Amino acid sequence: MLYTGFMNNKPNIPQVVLPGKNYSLLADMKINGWLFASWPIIFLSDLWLFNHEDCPLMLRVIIALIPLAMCLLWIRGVARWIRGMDELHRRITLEACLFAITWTFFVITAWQHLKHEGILEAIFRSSHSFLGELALGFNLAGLTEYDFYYPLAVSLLCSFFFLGHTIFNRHYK
Amino acid sequence: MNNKPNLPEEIGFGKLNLWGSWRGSLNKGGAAWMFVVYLTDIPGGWLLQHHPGWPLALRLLIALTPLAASLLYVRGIALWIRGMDELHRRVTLGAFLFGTTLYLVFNAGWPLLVRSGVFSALNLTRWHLDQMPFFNCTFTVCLTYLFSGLGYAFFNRRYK
Repeated sequence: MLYTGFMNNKPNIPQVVLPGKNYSLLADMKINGWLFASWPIIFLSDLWLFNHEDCPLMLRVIIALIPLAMCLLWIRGVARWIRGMDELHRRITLEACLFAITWTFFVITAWQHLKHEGILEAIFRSSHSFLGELALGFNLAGLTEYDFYYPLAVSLLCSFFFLGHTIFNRHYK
Repeated sequence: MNNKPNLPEEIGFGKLNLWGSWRGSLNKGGAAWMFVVYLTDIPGGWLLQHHPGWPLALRLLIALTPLAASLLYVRGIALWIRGMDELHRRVTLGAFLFGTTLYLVFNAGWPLLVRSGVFSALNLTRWHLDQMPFFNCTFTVCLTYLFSGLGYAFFNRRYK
């Protein structure tokens, strides 16, 4: 009974999180729920840390690490989702994940590198646009440009995953 | 069809043999581009710091050279992995996925720890742990390489 129960489980398919006719909001929330929940938490925790500088260190560390813990839970969920796929889908999804992570990683590193070398400052001399504010740095009641790196990284990750999946899936059509 | 498949042990410290594998391993896994990143990143940073009056186009070129070399390094790794057999490809893909994800987690988590004041409270600022150079290409490539090596050792254990 135990084994037949497992054998009757349908394998996961990557299309449930990609825009299209197979998209399922429920499945998307199951896989990426921790990620979406961590977005407001990172802003709130940073605002809290800025306004409560005199509270105990342990509490500050715990509050600072909550978004990171949520991020790790999201990675665990994605790993389990990929493990439940068949061989071909697993391979395509793994390659798309590596593609997405590598490109996100490259864009974030390039951004930080150009900012540190003062190139972005020379390009965005007037910081009236959002990109200019992000490039030059700001502090808005405790929210700094670092708080926007996280949503930026997540948006890039999702976009590159979609692109990567489209590219790698084309081989098998 | 007579081409031998690539092996993950061809790079790194797997087979430390000065004239055997090290010379040959420079062509494997984009290793030559990795050294181009090292050779252009820190000297480029020094040049940009000491010559702020140089034209923007030249400064941009100097700043973008290590980034372009990093892209070519990633391309070299992708080509090298594509030349492996099924099992090695799976293990190496998993290892690089592990390495890059762990690096992204570190990159996201470190500023949070700095802002919580843990490094100042534990007096770890004397080792400049609050100023980790995540913007530095050399640091990024080295740490990712280290994490991927760790991932490879971990994933490879299952098949021994």
